[in-house]
Amino acid sequence: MIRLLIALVCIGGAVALRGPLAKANALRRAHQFRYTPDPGLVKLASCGHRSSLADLLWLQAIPDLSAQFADLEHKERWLAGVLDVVTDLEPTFVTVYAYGSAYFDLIKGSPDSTIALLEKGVDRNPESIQLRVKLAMALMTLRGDRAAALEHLEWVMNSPDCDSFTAGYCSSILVDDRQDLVALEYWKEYLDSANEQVVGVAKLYLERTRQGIFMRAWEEFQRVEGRRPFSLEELRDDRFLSPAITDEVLACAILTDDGRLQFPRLVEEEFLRVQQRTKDWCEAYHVEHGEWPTLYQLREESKIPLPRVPEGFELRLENGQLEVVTEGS
Amino acid sequence: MRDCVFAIAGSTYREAVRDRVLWVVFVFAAGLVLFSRVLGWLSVEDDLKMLQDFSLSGLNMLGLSLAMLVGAFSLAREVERRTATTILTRDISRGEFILGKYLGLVGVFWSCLIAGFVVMMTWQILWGGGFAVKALAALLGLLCESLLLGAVALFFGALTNAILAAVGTVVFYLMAHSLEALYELTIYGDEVRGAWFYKMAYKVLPNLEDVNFINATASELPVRWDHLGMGALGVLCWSIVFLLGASALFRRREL
Amino acid sequence: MASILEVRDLRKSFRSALSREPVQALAGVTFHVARGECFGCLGQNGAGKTTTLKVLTGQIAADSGQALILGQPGSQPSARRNLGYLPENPYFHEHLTPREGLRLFGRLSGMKRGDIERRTPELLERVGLADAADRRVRGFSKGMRQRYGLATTLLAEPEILLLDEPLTGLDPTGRQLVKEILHEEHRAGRTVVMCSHVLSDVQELCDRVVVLHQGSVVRQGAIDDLLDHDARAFEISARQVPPEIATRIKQQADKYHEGDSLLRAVLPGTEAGPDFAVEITQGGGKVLSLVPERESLEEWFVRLTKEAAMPVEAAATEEVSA
Repeated sequence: MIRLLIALVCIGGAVALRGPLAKANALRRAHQFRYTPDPGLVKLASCGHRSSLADLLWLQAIPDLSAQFADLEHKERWLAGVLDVVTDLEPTFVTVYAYGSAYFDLIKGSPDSTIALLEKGVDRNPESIQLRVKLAMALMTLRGDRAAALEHLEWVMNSPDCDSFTAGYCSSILVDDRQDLVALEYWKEYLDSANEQVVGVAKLYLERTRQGIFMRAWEEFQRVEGRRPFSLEELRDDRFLSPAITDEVLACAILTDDGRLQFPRLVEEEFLRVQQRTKDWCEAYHVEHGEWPTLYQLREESKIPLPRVPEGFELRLENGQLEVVTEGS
Repeated sequence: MRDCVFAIAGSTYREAVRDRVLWVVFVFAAGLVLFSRVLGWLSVEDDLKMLQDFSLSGLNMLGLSLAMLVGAFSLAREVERRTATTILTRDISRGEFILGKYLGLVGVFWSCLIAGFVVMMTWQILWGGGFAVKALAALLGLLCESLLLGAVALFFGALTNAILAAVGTVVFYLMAHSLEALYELTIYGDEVRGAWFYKMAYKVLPNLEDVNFINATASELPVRWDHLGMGALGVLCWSIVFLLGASALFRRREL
Repeated sequence: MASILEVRDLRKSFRSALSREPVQALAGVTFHVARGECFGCLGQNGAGKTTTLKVLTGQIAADSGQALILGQPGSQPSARRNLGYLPENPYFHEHLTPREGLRLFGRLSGMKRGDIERRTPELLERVGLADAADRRVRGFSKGMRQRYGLATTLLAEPEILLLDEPLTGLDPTGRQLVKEILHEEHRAGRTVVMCSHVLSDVQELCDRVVVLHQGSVVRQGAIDDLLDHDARAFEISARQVPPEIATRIKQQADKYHEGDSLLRAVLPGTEAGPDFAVEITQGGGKVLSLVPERESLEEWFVRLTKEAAMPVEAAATEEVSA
């Protein structure tokens, strides 16, 4: 009986300690220390199990791609290192190049790293059509190096493994002098990502690209015709927009009755992006200070550009959630 | 080959198969194969690739565990428990005894590895993966590796007691799988101290990477069957060397 | 009689890892065993009996000297073809059954499958393990293992049986059974060599013995020749003994018991017993038995080992023509 009581007391104690231990573990998680392994030593340590070790490191890296780290520099060092190691351990791990380039491009914002990783992938997987197409689009969009991109696209089209869809897609890119299709397809590639943050950023950039193409077409119309278009349909012209992209570009804008242009989807995506960034910043603030920041603190201390709201509306920040509400509500 | 060799092989096989240790090890390996599917769910894509990776690594670990716990313990325990006495006082030489034990152990290893491979392929097919002929290359590589590990385990078992023999087998496994990486360091890395030693070791010591086709199977690299053949031949040569060593050591050992 | 087993000037020392001084286990052991005899090997613990057997069976190598089985060195596997060896406390593969084990040992001895299948049930019946033929050895008692070991030794009908403590761990029934088997094998013409601490068994079974002490031979020969044949005392049992004779017997006897008109006593010396037997008969009583007590092998062995100087009697060994 006594032994049973002792056992119950110990179980109760262990369960009671769970709460404080969970908080302690959470603090450790917030510190998020990652050890970046040396590629040579990792190969040595793998003892022939390179594929499995590459998988394990990749599994650890996947959630970190979009996770919030208190020390951003550390995160970048870790991810750059682990992507290097994984691709060294298993050069044919195509997914890593694809997702890694998405991280470098959309989250870190480093075109050079994006292209370097894709070039490494193509170098080690010369037969991979997926990587060549990605690299070609990155070269065109991020570096403006059309010649290098064309070289890869032509290889893809001549490859016996190239399916008709990919061949058609590549050939339309080649004929599009303005590279509008490339620009749009580049961001659309990321919409299928399993990483929500990547998808969010890609949607915003896609809308911005559509707006950019639209405005260019609008200004070209004005220069050629000497007047503003009366309707959006007037832009449906080969001289201003390639037929392949006309519908989707025109769909991104609204011409009001009083002649003002509006881009509602862009505004919505931008606000969503600001909301996400605000939420991330507030959560980090909350972890550090133990309380949620005010709207004033958000304006003064964060570098997030807050949107201007229409008359009669105001911004409200509550527990990290930024919203547009009616004034005085 | 005299019938006494096969008699020893048969009794070794039967003893091992009836030992609880072997079943525990096999169940763990099978569990890892089944659990590899869960790991695949954690990835963004390539879940079947991860299933195959971890399963094959699990089978490789199964081979090592068997060599360590069954192979190394087999001979050393026979000497420690003196069951070898009742056998070696018959019309059988020590060399024949070693050969018989080796054949029995290889039978055990191959049975387990093939059974594990069948579990892996069944699991893979259930989750939508296909049967790739390349996977057979990985299995054949594992079978070849078990040939050498079995010989090494007997060598250490003839030399010392059961625990040290198991440790020796593991150390050999680590060494034989690290040679390739050490050699790569000397070629691709910066100036490495003692590079001459690693290069020499790479040339003269047994290299289990010669028959390691796990990575090739899971990562879409092409399989060169002629490479596998050469690797198998090399492994067979080393196995014979270790068996001869085991025989020589055991001949001098006092029971 | 031809020698079937010969040990000539066998020497063996062991050096432990810790001590520098080697331990001399055998210091020139010489003896031989004739074909068809039952030979005992006696000695205290550490005398060198088991070491000698190990050299004979090739388990260890001697430093010098020879150990021959049918003229061949025991280290050669072919020499052991006609040898059945049962070590002390034999160990067997735990997960095999006796049937499987006998199949293994039969194949090791070069027997044909049919012969093994024929002999197996016979042998298991003979050693009292017929019911346990398909049980794994793991669950066997010590006595069962000993009997199973004997079965493995007899399976191939070898010419020589080399047994180290064959009666260890057996209950009285088991001991009786094994002794009967050894008697039968001896009568069938097999040569039996056994080491045992149970000297009464050796005295019962063996014709000749060798005594080892600290790695050397101190005595060897036929048991009858080694023991003192003179009676040391007499055990008398009688009925209807006249009281005054009974009183005198009681005064002289080492042991005395009377009850239910039966008198039993042990009288020291060579004369008291026969004399009282005559008196009882003449006094109207009935002598049921008069048994002389002679020195047993055990008593002789203890006396031998207690003696201060124990010269090695190499010259006193019997010469047996080859």
